[in-house]
Amino acid sequence: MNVMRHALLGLAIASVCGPVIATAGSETPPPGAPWQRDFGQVHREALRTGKPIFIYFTKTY
Amino acid sequence: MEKQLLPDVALKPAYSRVVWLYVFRDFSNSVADRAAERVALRFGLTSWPQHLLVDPDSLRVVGDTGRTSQRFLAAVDRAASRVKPSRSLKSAERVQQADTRAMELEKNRNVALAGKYLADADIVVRFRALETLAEKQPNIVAAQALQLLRVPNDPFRYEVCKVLAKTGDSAAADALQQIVKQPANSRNPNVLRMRAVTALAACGDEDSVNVIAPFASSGQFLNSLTGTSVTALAAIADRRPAAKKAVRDVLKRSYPQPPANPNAVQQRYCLSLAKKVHAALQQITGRQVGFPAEYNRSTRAMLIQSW
Repeated sequence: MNVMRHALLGLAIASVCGPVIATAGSETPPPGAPWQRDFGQVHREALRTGKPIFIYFTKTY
Repeated sequence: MEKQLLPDVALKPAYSRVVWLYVFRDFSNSVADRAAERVALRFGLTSWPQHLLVDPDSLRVVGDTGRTSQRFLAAVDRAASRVKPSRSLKSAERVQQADTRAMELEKNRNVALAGKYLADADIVVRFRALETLAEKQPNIVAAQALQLLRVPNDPFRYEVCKVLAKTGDSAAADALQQIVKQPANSRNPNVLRMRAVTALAACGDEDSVNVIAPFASSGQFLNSLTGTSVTALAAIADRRPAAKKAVRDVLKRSYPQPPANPNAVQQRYCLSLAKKVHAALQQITGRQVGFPAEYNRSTRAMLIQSW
């Protein structure tokens, strides 16, 4: 029941505020940068290209 | 900070200078969540959110991105100048093979396999082994606690401390005290100290009292380490009668000094710690002393006198 309430509340907020921008705690990365999710793939690309890896760790809140 | 910083278009010059990895945990223990957890474990993460700039060859952290776009771009510049293209993908292959071993343990929480992998070269594999043994054979973990507590990875040491808090192995007391004195190589030294102090509640002895004392009597009522230290001292006194007098003396000094003009949060936390100290003193002395209706500097002094 609580989950349903939260979901409905979220929908209500979204409908009032417009599109939700991804922030800390979102399953969707923040807009802009070319984010990837597969560490193995990122690791290989960084080794090949000689670029550092930037990791953004976040979680559900 | 991420809310404003990461979507900022001012970061555009960095888009092609680093490889961007997004690691999201929902703690559902799904396949995706376990994969995210393995990345977090590899970098010793215990709190979120975090930004790390990492050298892909060594997987060492090479920069702190700060909270502004200027600092972020400067950190990327510095990190980019330190990283060179690698002739081999060995580092990625090692991680991939380690992930396979870790996933083997995720699927099959087998004690024999965990015993073997506890000494693995890879920290994520070691963690999965530790997790399995902590659940199924905690005595194996306790027996190796001295070595395991030296592993420079916070989630790993937290897990060892958790086991010791249950098993109460006194042989680990020195190593735990060392962590409390100097939580080396930690991203989160305060929490690591808390975990070690909690374990000392079960493993510690008279020597542990002096090590924990500065944290119990720090007066920092907003820091959970203070209350945890008070609780641990009372537990040590309960188990070790020889420690009782020293613990009582420390606890008397641990009634927090109320701030001159506390706000509501300070007032609440200060009072809560004072009551915790009071209960601990009653518990170890067996005496009942009334707690004042109002806790202030004057009643604090009276409480200290009453013990």
